[in-house]
Amino acid sequence: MTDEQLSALLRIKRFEQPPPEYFDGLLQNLHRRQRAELLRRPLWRIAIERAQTFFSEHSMGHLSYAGALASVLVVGVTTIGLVTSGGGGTNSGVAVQPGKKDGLIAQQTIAPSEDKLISLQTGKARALFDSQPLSTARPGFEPVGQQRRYIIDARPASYESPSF
Amino acid sequence: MQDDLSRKQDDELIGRTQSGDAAAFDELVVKYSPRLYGLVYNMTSNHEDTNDLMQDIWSKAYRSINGFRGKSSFYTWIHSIGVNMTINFLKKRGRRYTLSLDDIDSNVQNDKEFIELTASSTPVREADLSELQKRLNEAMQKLSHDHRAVVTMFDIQGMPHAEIAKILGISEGTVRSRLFYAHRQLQNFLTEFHS
Repeated sequence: MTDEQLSALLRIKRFEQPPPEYFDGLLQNLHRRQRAELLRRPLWRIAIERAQTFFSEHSMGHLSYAGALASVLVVGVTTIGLVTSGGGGTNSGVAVQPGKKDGLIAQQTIAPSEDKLISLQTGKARALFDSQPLSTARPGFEPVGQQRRYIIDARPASYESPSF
Repeated sequence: MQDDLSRKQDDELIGRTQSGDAAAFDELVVKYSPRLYGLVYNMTSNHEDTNDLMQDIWSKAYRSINGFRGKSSFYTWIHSIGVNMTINFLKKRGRRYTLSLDDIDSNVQNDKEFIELTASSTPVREADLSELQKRLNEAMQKLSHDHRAVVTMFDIQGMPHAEIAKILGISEGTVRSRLFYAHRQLQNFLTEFHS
């Protein structure tokens, strides 16, 4: 069999077509299938689409933006609130060492007892601080006003090895 | 393969489909289904499988039409989907198939090629043509999926090498070499039948 004969034989195969009605039926079957696929979609996707359709039909696009903005604001305020309340201890200048006894150390540093505060206000202590400035203070630093501020936590207690 | 007017019409129909006009997509289905059917049918050799695949192909095309950017013609695009899905189907089906390629359209009797083939004094004329067709179909099924795809597009559908290369994503040289090899194989099968 020559190439030409083979080609001619193959070309006849282009007539192997179904009747024209088949293609009408194909289109109908395709439509049926597309509708079936629509019904088989997950519920959440259908719900989203219906919500989108609802907003678009009622020109409520600005309301959806407002809702989204409100959600963002609520989340933002909540986050800021959490950071502010949770970060109070860390902003006090107390460095917390990791370990089992951290909680105890932090408590001791953050909440000094009234007795210790009072003891710093005694005349002896004042005289001591007035005559010997703290070594951690910057040279030339002058406290403003009458009340002097002593930076006790400049050398955090947590840096010292626990004595217990 | 496609003239400018046809391509412009396709672009318009695609644009309308992408805008949500489902009727425009139906026009594309009507326009390209006969050729697509020929491609799939000659690769599967089975009406039922072809029917299922046609629906799968058009469904996929509809889902993907928004991603169509017009880098190739719609004709190339839909044929690429068709060939790839058919080859995947054939790989899954394996060697389990039933031939149903014996329903030659009655128009074939008026075809010039058919008349020439049966009127000339060749061994082909002496053989029963329908039997020869059956043998040819069997021979086609012995080809690999890739070779069958190339023969279907070139010899049966009359596509140029460049178009086939685009559809299959291979070079024109590869198309030519696959065609050469496939023709040799088909000739061998049919020569065995004649002898």
